[in-house]
Amino acid sequence: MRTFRIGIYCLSSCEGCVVQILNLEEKILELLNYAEIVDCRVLGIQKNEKVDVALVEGFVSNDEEEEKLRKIREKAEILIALGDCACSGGRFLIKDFNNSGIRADPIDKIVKVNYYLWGCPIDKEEFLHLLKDVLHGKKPREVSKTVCSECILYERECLLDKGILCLGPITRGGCHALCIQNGRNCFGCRGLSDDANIEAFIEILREKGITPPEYLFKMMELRRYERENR
Amino acid sequence: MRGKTVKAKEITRIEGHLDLEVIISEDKVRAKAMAREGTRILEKVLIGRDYWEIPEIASRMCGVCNAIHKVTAVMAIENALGIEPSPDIQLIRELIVIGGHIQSHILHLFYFVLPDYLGTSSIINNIMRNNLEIVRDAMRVKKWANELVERFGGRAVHPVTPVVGGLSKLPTREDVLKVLKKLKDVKNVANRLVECLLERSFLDFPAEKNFVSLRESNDVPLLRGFVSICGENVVSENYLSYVKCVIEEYSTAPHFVLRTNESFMVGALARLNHNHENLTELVKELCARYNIGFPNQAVFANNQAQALEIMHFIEKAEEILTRFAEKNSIGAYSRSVEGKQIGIAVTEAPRGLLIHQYGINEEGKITLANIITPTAQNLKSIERRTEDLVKEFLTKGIDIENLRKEIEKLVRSYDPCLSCAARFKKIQQ
Repeated sequence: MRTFRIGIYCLSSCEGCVVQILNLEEKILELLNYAEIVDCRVLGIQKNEKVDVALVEGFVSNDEEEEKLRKIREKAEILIALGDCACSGGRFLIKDFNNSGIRADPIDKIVKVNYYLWGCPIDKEEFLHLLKDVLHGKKPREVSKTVCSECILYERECLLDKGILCLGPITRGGCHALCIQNGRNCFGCRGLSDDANIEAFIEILREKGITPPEYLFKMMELRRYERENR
Repeated sequence: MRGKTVKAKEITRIEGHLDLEVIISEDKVRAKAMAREGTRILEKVLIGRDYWEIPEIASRMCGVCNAIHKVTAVMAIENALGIEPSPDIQLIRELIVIGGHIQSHILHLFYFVLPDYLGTSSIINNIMRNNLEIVRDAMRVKKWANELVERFGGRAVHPVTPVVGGLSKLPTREDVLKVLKKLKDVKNVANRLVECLLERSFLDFPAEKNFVSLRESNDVPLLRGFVSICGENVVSENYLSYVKCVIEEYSTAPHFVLRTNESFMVGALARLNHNHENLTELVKELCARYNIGFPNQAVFANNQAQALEIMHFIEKAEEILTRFAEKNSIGAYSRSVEGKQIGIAVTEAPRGLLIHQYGINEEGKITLANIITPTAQNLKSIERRTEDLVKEFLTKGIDIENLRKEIEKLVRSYDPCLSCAARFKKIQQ
């Protein structure tokens, strides 16, 4: 089996997704039987070669980063966006639908992205799964269910019924409802699920006596705009 | 080499993007630490948000020291709202923070620093072939530290349980016992690992004169205590009136100096310089065996201080976990105390003193947010001490490539974290 070349790159981010990759610990050693990391500033590797798989963390906040991203795309066979920052510009975590005027472009606004790993931070096992699929040339399975549909499996009392705002019903699943398992509400860090109906969700919130937060309306507008322009 | 400029661009094996430029002219040496991090300006995003959302966003300051950012944000908001959580809650938060510190120190010492001393560029690909045992040991200790954060905080990176008023989920007895059981093995592994770092020799120059950290009479404190500024204790809430912020047009991070305009250093070395008498017996033995004394002014000793802290914090975790293992219940309540117009929390991040400050209005929305990170406080020291290092090497004679390497090593020993420190988009002229 030939050795795959992997590059890990950071744009504007907290580098938590890279930390998650390193948290795989001895599984990285196994992975390195098949793959070589040829570019990763944090690890002190900068060979500047062509790569089979580029893993890109962070959003684009300036022209310099845009240029860097284009160069990464040029030398990469497959490009994977890591985490909410790269996938959406940090939109779902920060929910600042550009009020602050800071540039925070998701990377697919600049270059073509082959696969997305959602979440803040990414789930390390999900990462490993995707990477193995890619290395084997298998088409990875898309996660389209919601956090809500995973939460139900744990038979917990619904937070919305208790009058607590939880974005589980409109958020892409795959996290096994980790926050709710830990006594929290869903913050939406995995982005909108493909079939999210924000309008209906706002209605449900009102029925349950929860004031819908302002960002939901902006999210709705933005989604409409993006659908019309893509 | 006079009249030359040495540039270390995108220094590798540190968290975030930093360039260092050293201009060597006829009569002087001038260093500029240029934070190159793209701008995320989290504070601006925090304004107008509900107070309970703040710790979620603030922890995203940094993927390496996220646990302390989250806990510090929670504490600052509690300070504003007048909430004092029970001692048990505070101890569990401390465990989460300890896990974060050990994880961060391992990453820094063994993934970032050690390659310099093994004559290679990276732990992956190179060291692995020759020193696989070190890599495996480092991974084992880091894995345990992450499990500690996961079991008590819900997730290793960006833990979820610390919330304003307490914890969203309490650990079970099983969590306590499992982590404690693994700790016994990990302690031996960690001891071996730490010794492998302590036996290396580090340069004894340059030296920093001023150190700032939390201080307590019987602890190496992470979440409470006075702030010791070069040995003088001040109430932590007043700390900010003792330092000045300097805006440099070449950097996207603010820089800080003391009132005397002198640079200062925060971090593990500062902590041990002020609290070394409170280290555990085992750590004191290590100091004696490797002839390491405190106070110590050599910047490179920060690496040794971090290594010693790994052992100290493992033992501290052991003490706290044992206490929980012997109890039947966890006291999860909070007391209401007097609130403040602007809440503040001063803590110790892995890289040094961290300050979060928030103002909250009557509707529970954030009106003011100010976060001062350890790296921002260290940047001036990085510049001044780099100048010292360059001057010293110039008298010894050194070629430009090796000088650049030595500069990078010095910067690395501060364990800078630029994701945290960067704040500005464009500097207002």
